[in-house]
Amino acid sequence: MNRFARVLCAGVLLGLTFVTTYSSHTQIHAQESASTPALAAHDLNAGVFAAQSQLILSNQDAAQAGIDRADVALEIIAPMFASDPDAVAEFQTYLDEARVAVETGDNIALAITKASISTTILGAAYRQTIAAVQSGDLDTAAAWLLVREYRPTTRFSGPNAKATTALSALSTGEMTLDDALLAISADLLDAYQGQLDAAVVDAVQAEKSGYPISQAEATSRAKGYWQIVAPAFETQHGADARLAVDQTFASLVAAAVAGDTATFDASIAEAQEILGQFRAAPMTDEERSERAHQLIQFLGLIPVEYKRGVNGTTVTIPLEIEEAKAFSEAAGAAFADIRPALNQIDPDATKTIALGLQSLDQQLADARARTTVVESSVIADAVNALEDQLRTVYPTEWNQSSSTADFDVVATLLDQVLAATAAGQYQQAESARLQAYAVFETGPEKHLLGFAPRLAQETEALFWAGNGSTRGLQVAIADHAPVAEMQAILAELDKVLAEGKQRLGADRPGNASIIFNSATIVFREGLEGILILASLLASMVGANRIYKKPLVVGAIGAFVATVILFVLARTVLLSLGQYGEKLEAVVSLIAIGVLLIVMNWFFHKVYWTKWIAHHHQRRRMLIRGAAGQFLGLAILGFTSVFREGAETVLFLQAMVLDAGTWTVVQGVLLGLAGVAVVGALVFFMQAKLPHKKMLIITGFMIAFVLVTMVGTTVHVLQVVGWMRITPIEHVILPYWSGVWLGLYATWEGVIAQVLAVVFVIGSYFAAEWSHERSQRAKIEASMATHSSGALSPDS
Amino acid sequence: MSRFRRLGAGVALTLVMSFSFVPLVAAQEATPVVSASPVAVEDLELSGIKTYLVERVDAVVAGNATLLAAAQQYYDLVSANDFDYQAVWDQFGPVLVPEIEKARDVWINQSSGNYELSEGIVAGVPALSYYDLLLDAGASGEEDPANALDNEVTLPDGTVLQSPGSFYHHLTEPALWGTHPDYVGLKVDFDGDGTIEIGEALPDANFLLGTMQGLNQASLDLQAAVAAWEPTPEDAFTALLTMVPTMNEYFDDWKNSPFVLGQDSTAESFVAVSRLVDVAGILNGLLVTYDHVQGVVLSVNPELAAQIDAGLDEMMAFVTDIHAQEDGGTRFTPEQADIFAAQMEEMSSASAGQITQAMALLGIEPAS
Repeated sequence: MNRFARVLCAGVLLGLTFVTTYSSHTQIHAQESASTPALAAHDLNAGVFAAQSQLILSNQDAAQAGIDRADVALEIIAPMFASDPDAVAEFQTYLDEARVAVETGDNIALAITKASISTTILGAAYRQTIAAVQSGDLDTAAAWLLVREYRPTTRFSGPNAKATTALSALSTGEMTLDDALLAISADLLDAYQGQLDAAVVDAVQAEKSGYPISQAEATSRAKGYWQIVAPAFETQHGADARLAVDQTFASLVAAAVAGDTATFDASIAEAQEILGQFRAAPMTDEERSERAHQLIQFLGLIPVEYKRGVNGTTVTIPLEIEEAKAFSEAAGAAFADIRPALNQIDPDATKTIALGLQSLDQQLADARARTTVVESSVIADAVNALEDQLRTVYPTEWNQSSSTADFDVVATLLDQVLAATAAGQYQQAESARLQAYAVFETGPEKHLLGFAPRLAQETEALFWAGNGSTRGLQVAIADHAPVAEMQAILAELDKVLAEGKQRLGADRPGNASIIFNSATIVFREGLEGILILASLLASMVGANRIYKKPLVVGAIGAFVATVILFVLARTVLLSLGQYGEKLEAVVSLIAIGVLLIVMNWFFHKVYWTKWIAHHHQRRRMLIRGAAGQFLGLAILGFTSVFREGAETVLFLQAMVLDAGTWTVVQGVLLGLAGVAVVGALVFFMQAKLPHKKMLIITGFMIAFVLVTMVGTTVHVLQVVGWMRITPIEHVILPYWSGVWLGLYATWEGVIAQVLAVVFVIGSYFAAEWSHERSQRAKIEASMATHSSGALSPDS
Repeated sequence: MSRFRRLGAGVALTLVMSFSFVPLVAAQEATPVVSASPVAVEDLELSGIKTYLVERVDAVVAGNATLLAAAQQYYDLVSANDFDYQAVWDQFGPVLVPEIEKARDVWINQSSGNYELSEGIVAGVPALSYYDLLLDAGASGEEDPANALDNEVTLPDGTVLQSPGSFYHHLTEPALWGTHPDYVGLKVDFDGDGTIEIGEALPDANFLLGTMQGLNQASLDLQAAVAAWEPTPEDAFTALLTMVPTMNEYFDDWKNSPFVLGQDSTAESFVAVSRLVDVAGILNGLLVTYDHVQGVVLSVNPELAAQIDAGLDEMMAFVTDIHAQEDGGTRFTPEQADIFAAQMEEMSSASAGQITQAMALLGIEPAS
């Protein structure tokens, strides 16, 4: 032993004094306080474990003391089980067996008994809880509810408090008895099924490690948990099937005790097959639908991650493979939850899907271990095939969007943002952020726009540039913000998302609200287009009347295209959903380009036309430029309407899923009526104005629309990640400034809008300067002609 | 109850304090008395958690300053001999051995030891958890490229270590104890018994100084972060919720350490001190934390409050008991360690679930 080790031991001696004091204290404390079911159960288990931990060290006397402690606890707990004498008899039998095991030094027998005692307590406490809830004795129910275990914590799930909160809600009258019973039993059965799965895995692991005591205990635990969930299995599959599974678990324990590897392996395989197709906790239809939707979402993320992580058959970014594997596991968990339901629909297809998921997961595991790395296209094909198979076997309602399920996926992805940030891997954080936003944008955002537009806007702000008081995720990641700041942003985002989920999960608002919200969307999105159209149409008088036609044709074409989009099959729209904002960005850029050209042309045209008319040159000018101008105006008409039309339709379609077609159509009609009224007002007001004033007002309106459009387009470009974001610090703009003016607190947006204004003004002065110069030239030419004529001897 | 708890919690602290001859009373004074009576969330008094943490981190910083000075002195000596370790050993061996052992004592009892006592809070509070990865728990890029911190450590000769892992267990511990061949200047027979055992090595001076400089700076950064931190109920519950389930992971480390596997272990970390001390230290911080919030749990469900209390007590008793046996000379078999680890997993999982119930009843969301 080296000197260091001796020093350490010497130091520990002082600590030992307190260890002894402390341990004694704990036992006394526990025994004195074991007056509640929770503490009595705790003490009973602790006594048996103390016996086990001493017996494996061959301290039989100390092990005996542990059994004595358990006996004392049993005396305390037995009266609490007055209504369940069989349970008390079982405890006593197991404790007697445990005492014998200690006396004979049989570690394996003690391990089995220990697991039997703990799971029997859990089963009995579960029954006590349910009975107390049914009888309305909520205090007793609350006391027994503490005697429980929780689903093992994984990356995607931790302990929850559904049963506790349900009992609480029942006591305050916020939940009905039936709903509370469902929630409590679902939570407890889910936890015990999770523990059962874990026990089977532990048994396999212990067998591999050559740990017979651990193996025996794990099998006994599995058997005990099975007994708790078995009544649910019997309800679903019948008494005979349950008896068969009882036999499987009994064989499992016997095989572990006997060291019979062949029977053990066979029993494990049987148990895993059965458990893979069984879900003890009752699920509501809504929960099943959500899990089905999440399964598709998680699957869809796998090839995205995988593709980023490999180059050919080489892993280049291990983190991405890790993420792909994590999503595969999440997909597996979601599949396990809905598998029983799928089995009832199409057992063969379900089995094929299960095998496909298994194979996919194995490929990802191999890539992670670098044993075999397949090309990204292989993974993409596998996922596509699985998605097709799932969509085929899913009931119709499962194939519809589920925005509340999407929230969970977004939350999972945001967890990855934080994890990557904590590891200093900002590139990976950004990629997780973009994925989270893509899920939000293609699902919940559109529904939120119908139900709670403010939350949609707030969420978007936090994903991107920020809301003035808090920097957005995109900016913070680009700036390599410290973890603490990222946590603060994510906390705020979580809060807004939770509120959004709650709003969407709650009863949907009344039809009037949906009508109003859809009308607002149509009115807001249609306003820009109608301002341009009405202003230009009003200005096209006299010689310019001929330009009305292409403009109107373009606008009508876009309107028809929008309507066609709306009535297209829902699946087509959903597939377009992920491109919604990118589509808007592209169309907006075209619209701005065309508008800039038209504006330039407009200012020049105002003056040129008059000049041309006076000098009878109209025909020549029109012939020279007509083709380009007609096309330009047609494109302007089309893009003015379609740039917002396509995106609006996607929003509206999401609302149709929530509220039905007719409700949304009423809102659309109302919105269109509003747009038409504004258009008519602008048109007639313009028409009544003197020509020059009308031109000026038209110019202002087009300039206003251009500036708004530029601001909105920059925002959309930033949202889809095509333009960087530099927030204007300490500037908080109201929600409406973005929605109605395209004004967002980013330097890029504001500068672009200023440039647009400069362009408009510049274009005006350029036109005026051009106009004056032309006039001057004409005058000079005229004067020259006159003067030369006057001086000519021929005149 | 609280008084007894602090005595129990003081066990781990005593393990540390006994080496540095600080009276136990100092440890007790570090934790203000908290009454376990019902209290509303808004009336929770949490300053004691910060006081506890500040004292522990101050001790860490003081220990690291000592270590840095020692590393600098060692570097100067080796440097003056052109990094000829054999010459250094031949000339200064008798002087160096006690100095290295003194540095190891400081590392165990002042630096790492005090950090372990604060780890439950530092690692569990999101605003501080980065420092836990940096100092104690972070994996290296080689071990876990997905989750390793993206940090750099520059050594005096200009070598840059990219994502090297935690300062305690990936850098300074292997350097001081010579468990990683790359960090060893020269393997020597410290005690002259004819064999070179684990831990008998002169550290690589360049590596030792660079990593001690990094450790010192990281602890100063932690000290500043702790000074700026104001504990909230969310922080306290999140620390409990986050750290309690990690106990079984630490037991897995212990299962694979030389304390269980002996010479079969390939671990480079947790060779100086058993991982059980780490577990006890973390639990100590969590017990202090729970003492400060127990009143609020009592206000909504006294039975749940007692259950959490009993569960945490049981865990602490369990760990200290095993550690006492280990220190008493018991060498647990891998299967025995596995059984203990399974039991710890069961206990920690139950406690985490109970804390979740308390948070739900109180309407407290995890801090993020």
